[in-house]
Parts: sequence; structure tokens; C-alpha cells
Amino acid sequence: MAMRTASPWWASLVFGLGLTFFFVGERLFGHIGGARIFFTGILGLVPVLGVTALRAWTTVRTSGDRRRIERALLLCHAGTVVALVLYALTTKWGLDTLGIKNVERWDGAITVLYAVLILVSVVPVLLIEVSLGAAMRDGFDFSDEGDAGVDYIRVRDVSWSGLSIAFATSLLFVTCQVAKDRNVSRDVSYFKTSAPGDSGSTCSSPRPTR
Amino acid sequence: MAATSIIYRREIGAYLRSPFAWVIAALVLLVNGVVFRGYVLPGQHLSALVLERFFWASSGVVMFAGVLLSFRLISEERASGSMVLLNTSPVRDSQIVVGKFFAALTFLAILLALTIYMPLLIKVRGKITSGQILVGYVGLLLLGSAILSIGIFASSLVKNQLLAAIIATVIVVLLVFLFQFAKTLDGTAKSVLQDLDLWWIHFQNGFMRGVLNLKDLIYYVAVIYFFLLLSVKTLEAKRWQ
Repeated sequence: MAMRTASPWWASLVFGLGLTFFFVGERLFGHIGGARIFFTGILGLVPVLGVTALRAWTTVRTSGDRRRIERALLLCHAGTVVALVLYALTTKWGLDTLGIKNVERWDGAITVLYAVLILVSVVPVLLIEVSLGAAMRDGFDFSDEGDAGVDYIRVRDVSWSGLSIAFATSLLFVTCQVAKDRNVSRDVSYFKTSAPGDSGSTCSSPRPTR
Repeated sequence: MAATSIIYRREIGAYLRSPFAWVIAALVLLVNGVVFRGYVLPGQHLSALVLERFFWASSGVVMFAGVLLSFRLISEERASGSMVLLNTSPVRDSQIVVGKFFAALTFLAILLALTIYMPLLIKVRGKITSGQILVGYVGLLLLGSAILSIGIFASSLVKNQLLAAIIATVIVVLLVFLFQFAKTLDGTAKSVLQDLDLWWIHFQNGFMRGVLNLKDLIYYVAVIYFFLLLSVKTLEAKRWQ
């Protein structure tokens, strides 16, 4: 079922492209001042902040279930913006501004936080957009149709699913990392003898006996 | 719990009645036996190393069997139309997925149990610890469980069984070779991707050599949980379509 939301489908696409350019600017051109400003600032931050402001506008202009959908998308975008602010606090500028001394610990904690926040903000948007579809969502639509144009329960369920998947992904990453750091290992492969005897092998091997 | 048990028993019954499952079982045991005779035994090595080679070969067979046992689980229901019955019955999607997963896992565990004579032969003829055999089999079971959960996820995505098998294989291959890809990177990305590798890091460097690592256990449990959750969410999403 196509749904007629207040904001067009391409707003999320612009937001996604902005995030991609932000990533490219920071990872590939982080060391080149001009290119970094162009990619991170102009192509990255401007679309992200612009679309977030747009969502705030469409949320205010609508009512009922249409408003709830816009608000859900706005919350997700706001989460992404907060994650980008947290990312900024891990850069040299952020560290200098806050006067952080224990850089390694701070960086580790904030990196995990912004990565998880980006994930739980982006995945629900992706699933909401898939559930909404692109049909009848080419432009802004503030016509007063009440709640007839959207199926909010469907969108709500899908966004909760997206949130669950994002949290599960975060759990997978974080659990693996913590398990690696706090690993307990036990080697049960060899007999605990003072020296390996001949009976331990069927014949000679180029590999040393542990 | 009762609904999960019913689905579990139904699936186990389906496995035992299906010639396809027995063909897979025969194929797995045949390939494992041939590889044991042709690759594991030849040459003269430490018996512990021979056992490592057995687990190395068996892990490949388990991955193969895992995909074959799981790719039909949900896509077949959808293709035959019986998914509608499941959707309209008082059963939650999570119960469907968990019931099917444990049924496939039981069948895989039986298959693995039937291969135990090979490490026992090594134990009789050489000198290895029972702990190494046990740890190796725990690893194979966890690896197989992870593959089954990936297979169920792929199966929940599409109606076409062949496509489900291809998707499952692609995900497994990607996760297995993640370690090789990670080697080309550096920094945090390398570390994160290496931690997510399905085979090289968590099976080959641990269970296969008789080394029990807590991180490997946690990794496999997390992967199983993740893909089963994805399967449940996919089924929920399909209800809306």
C-alpha cells in the first residue's frame, strides 16, 4: 500500500547521501583541509542538517498519524545528528575543546557510543522508507487528509523491527570486542607432560611439539 | 514453549521422512569419510595434528551440510502455501524460527555424532586427549548452528529455494573470507572485521586446535542470536506484505 506522507521519499535519500559524503570526507580527505571542508561540511553536514530541519517543519505542519510518522523520522535524524556531534568530540578539535587528558579511554567509549547511535538511527529510517514505498511521495504534501493516507501501525512495527535489528547488530559488535579483550583461553589439546614422548606422535613432523 | 515444541517435532519428523535429508546425511558422511581417508590420514604427523586436519576438513563439510539443511526451512513453507496456515495459527514468528532451528540443529548433531568413529580411530592408533575431541566437536556444532541460522535467515527472505540457498552461501562465504579482506585494511576496521570472521579466527585458531576460547563461544552464540532475530523480523515484515 502506497502511503501519502508529508515529506517526499527523496528526503531520506538526500540524508543518506549526506552521511556518505560525511564519511568520505572524514575517512579519505581528513588530512586535506580544503577537501575535508568540501566533503564533510558542504556535501555532508548541509544535507544532513537541512533534511533534519525539513522533517521538523513537516512534523509541525501535519497532524494525526501522518505527524507521528514524520516525528519518528525526525527522531531518527536527530539521533544521527547527536551521533555526529559525539564523533566531533573524538576529533582533535573536540579533544582540545574539552581538554581531555585520557584520550584513549575517552576515544574508545565515545566511538562505541556514536557508532551504536548512528546504527539505531539509520536502520529504522531505512526500514520505514521501505515500508512507505516511493509511490505518491514525490513532493511535499500538506493536504488535510486526516489519517487516511498512511498506515501508522505498520510503520511503527517496522521501525521497532529496525531498532531491534540495529541494537542486535550493536550487541554483536560490542560483545565480540569485549569478549576478545576479556578472553579466557584453555588449551586441552596436549597431555601435560614435562617433555613430549615418542608415543605422542605417529612419526616425525616438521612442526614442533608444544 | 508448547508451540515451539510442536514445530520442532513436526520439523524433525519432516527431516526423518524426507529422502532429501537422508541424501544429505549420506552425502555428508561419504564426503567426510573420503576426506578422512584421502586427506587427513596420509602422511606421517603428530596424532594431535591429524585430529586438527580432521576438524579442518569436517568444518567444510559442516558448512556445506548447514546450508543444505536450512535453506528450505521457511522458503518451502512459502512455496507450498503452508506458510499461510502457520501465520494464521496461534504461533509467534519467533516460535516458528526457533522450532525449525532446533530441529535442523538436532539433525546436524546426529550427523556429527555419526562421524565420531574417525577421531576415535585416531585416539586408538595415536595419542590425543579426549578434551581435544570434545572441544573440536563443540566448535563444529557451534559453526554448524551459525550456518543454520544464516540459512534460516536466507530462507525467510525469499520464496525460491534455489535463491535462498545462493543467498545463504554468499553470506557464509562473505563471513568466512572476512578475515582475508580484513588483512588488507588497517586500524579499527581491520580489528572489527577480523572479530566478525566466521571461520579463520573463531574456528581455525581455536576449536580446531583444541583451544577453548571464551571469545569464540560468545561470538558463535551472538551470530546465532543475530541471524535468528533477523529471520523473525523478516517473517514479521512479510506478514505486512
